[in-house]
Amino acid sequence: MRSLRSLIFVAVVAALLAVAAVAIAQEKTLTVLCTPQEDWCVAMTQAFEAETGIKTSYVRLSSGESLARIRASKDAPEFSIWWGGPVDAFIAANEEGLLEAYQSPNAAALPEQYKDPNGVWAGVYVGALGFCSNLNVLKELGLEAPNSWADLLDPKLKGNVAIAHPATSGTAFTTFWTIVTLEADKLEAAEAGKGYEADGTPTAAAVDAAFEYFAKLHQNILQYTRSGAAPGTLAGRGEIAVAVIFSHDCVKLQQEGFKDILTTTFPAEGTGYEIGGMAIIKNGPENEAAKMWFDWALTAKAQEIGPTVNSLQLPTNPDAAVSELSVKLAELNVVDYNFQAAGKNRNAIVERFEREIAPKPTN
Amino acid sequence: MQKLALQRQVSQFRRIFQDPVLAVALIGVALFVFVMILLPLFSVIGESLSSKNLPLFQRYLSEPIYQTIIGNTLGLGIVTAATSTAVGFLFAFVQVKLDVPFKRLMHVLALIPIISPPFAVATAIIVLFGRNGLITRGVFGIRFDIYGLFGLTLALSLSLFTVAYLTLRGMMQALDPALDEAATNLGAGKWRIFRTVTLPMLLPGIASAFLLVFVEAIADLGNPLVLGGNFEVLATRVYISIIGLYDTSSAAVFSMILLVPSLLVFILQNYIISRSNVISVTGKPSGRPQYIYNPFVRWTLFGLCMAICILIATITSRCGTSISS
Repeated sequence: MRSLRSLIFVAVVAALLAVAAVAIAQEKTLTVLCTPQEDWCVAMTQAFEAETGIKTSYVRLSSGESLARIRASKDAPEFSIWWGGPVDAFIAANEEGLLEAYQSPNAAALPEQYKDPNGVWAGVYVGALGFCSNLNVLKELGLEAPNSWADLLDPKLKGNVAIAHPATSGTAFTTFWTIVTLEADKLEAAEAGKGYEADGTPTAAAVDAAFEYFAKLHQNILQYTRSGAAPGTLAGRGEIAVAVIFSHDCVKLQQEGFKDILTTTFPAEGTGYEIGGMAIIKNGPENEAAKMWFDWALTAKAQEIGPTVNSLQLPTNPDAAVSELSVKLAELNVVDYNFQAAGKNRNAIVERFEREIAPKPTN
Repeated sequence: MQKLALQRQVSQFRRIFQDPVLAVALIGVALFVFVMILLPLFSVIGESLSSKNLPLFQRYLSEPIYQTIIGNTLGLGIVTAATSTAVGFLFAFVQVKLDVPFKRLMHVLALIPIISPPFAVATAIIVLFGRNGLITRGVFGIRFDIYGLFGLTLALSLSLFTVAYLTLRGMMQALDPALDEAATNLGAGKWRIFRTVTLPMLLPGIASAFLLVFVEAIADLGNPLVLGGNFEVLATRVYISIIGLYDTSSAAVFSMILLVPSLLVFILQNYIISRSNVISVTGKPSGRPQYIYNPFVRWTLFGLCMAICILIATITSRCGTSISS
């Protein structure tokens, strides 16, 4: 009798588990791999769900983490579409054959430089790098807000600068490539052909020079965070003086309570910028829904969602309204950022960074 | 003789399968252990020992950068284990040997760190003791640098001393008061009893708590990620290798380097526990343990304990504060 009862118990548990498994499997959802900040991911997925009725969920991972994750699950992709984060990582992913090209009808509205000619990726926003500094901490250190990349190397800033890890963060990689570009310009100015190869790729010498800069900067870094925008919070809380982040992330923090504490400055030599990319993941689930997202995310309406959650990147769709608070790219001295070359060199650079810079103790 | 033992085992198996719940549970547990623990472990070991990865061992063990990281990891483990065991011992001693107020409250507070989520303690410590911390900055007006070994030891000890506390409290309660009485009858003072009777009896417990905390400390990821500064440990290297680079080779090799001390400690600990069983043969405790009434000892230890309790309470109450990593 007792054993019969326990048998029934076991059977019921097994049946319940099976029902739960089937229920989970049947629910169709579009899963977005989302790289910008959390609240923007929420706003976007909710708006898309409201508009199309397709159940949409997201997973937020930083740019480098996203790339690693797509690479890890390429035989059975978990995500349908990847939205946001510098296109460098998208180009790197495409080099490995992880993305599916899609010619969206809505991409026609975008300026040429904000989309891939083969339709592999399309830009969904643009934003420039900047320095996000805590005025109180700067005052204590007796410093002005930095106005050049060289200012970051000031020994007075030791342990008072933070940036993300280029392996996980697109922000940090964009910073690295910006320095590569500046070094290439310098070398090219000294002697033609020294800074750039014939095809416009910065030379190995320029990359080496950038590593030298980061080795020096390493002495001033408190820690390399996982996500690109996190150093901004550290600066806001007064844990550090200067964060190297995208300027829109600093403006976002200013909007959210750090208005009089943080200031945004830009390097005079020239700053880097990102094109926030979007691409369909090859062999991903829910391909049709992913294409609908792709089309939708390029519309002016979808690109006006960012400012509602203080994500003040510039839209790529010329019809979308630009917030007054956004940092206008045209007003800045931006470097000639070679996205293709950046994407192609990304893996080699982050591996070298992880080997040569990040684990070094500071003295 | 051997045949008999075999027969007994077979009959035991048969008995297990007569009870379906037990059988299913047993198969479930076995599957769980296999899939969740053994399989990943073996694949990590397999990956790290594959011929293409062997040169990585050579590199990581010989380059000064990585030697520093390995040294940091072991150093952090030892320092954390020492402080956690000391604090755990203090709490256990106060619980078992002293008659002081708020003992129940102290016990509950000592258990809280075990349920607080990872990252929470570390972020709370930054909020309180960081460079712009509510206490360091707000109360004392200093710009205190919490990032690195000190902050990590603080965060990890607060999270892990519970392990030492529970181990040692159990052992202290199991100590036979008759031994103390015998020593008193022979004319030994309290301090002498503590030194020559209590402490030697607890030595296996102390060692075992120390080793357990050591293993937990070197495997911790959340705290070094948030509080590490430029103090790099193996766990963060493994994390970046996988999450940032999807470099399974390096991750597996780092994991192996991390696994070796853990396994050694595990073996050492089993050896110590097997020895401690011999000691507890002295029998069940008879009667209640004697309290120590020396006012100096009593109130100093009580004060220390309360101070740590206040620290725990402050930090846990701050655990909701957000700061991104």
